[in-house]
Amino acid sequence: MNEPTKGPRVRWRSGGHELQPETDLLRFEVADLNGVITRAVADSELYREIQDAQGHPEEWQVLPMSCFAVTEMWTPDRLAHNTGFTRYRVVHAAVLLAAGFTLWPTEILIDGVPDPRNDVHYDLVVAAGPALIPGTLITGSPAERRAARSELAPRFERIIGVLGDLRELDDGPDNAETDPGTMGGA
Amino acid sequence: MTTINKLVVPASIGPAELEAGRAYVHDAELEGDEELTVGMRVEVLDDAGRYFAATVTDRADHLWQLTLQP
Repeated sequence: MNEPTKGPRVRWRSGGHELQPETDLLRFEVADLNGVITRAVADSELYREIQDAQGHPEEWQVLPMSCFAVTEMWTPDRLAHNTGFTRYRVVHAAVLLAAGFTLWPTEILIDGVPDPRNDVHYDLVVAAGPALIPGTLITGSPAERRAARSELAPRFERIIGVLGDLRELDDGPDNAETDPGTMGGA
Repeated sequence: MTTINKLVVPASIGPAELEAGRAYVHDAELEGDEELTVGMRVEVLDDAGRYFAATVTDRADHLWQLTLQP
């Protein structure tokens, strides 16, 4: 895993969809809040390059949540293709920004393989700042990890409250008829 | 009769992971008592509630590499 293309990577996205206040942003529903928290903690290490470019100090950390711009081409059903997700929340970008959250256009790669939805991918920044993440969440005992997750939970509950009501996909993820790789670089 | 127990680990699996055939789980996503080792066969539970058979194939920093079985 030491080669640069191995593992997950996040890069600032310079092309693709440009955010407008009225853009609908979709967040797929992950039922387990603990999973949302630990995923954000896991991903936080991938943002070192972006944070360095923004001039943040070494101890600066970010807790991101993936979301996607809904466009004519990237409908909720198509965004869900090959994900297994059946439910999502959607909200105007302006609502998130008015609530004080930040959105970063980023792209995700796994072992060098780009996510086909990268052109409409955004990171919703749950929190950013120095020493956000308790170290025990990564190296602690099961009880210490539970306590650390509880400490972070209110930040996530607040943002989920802003994301809007739960909606069901029209067709279900396995019935999405379009293959994201065949529609010409949306 | 033989009972085979497999460890279930959480991981995010989307289109890129499926195309790459690999996913990654971070120590923060574990409970801390799993005792993962390279070569171990596990079940991956993704964010949407799907299960995938996988083998732990590498370890670097806080990340475990999981190779998904076709």
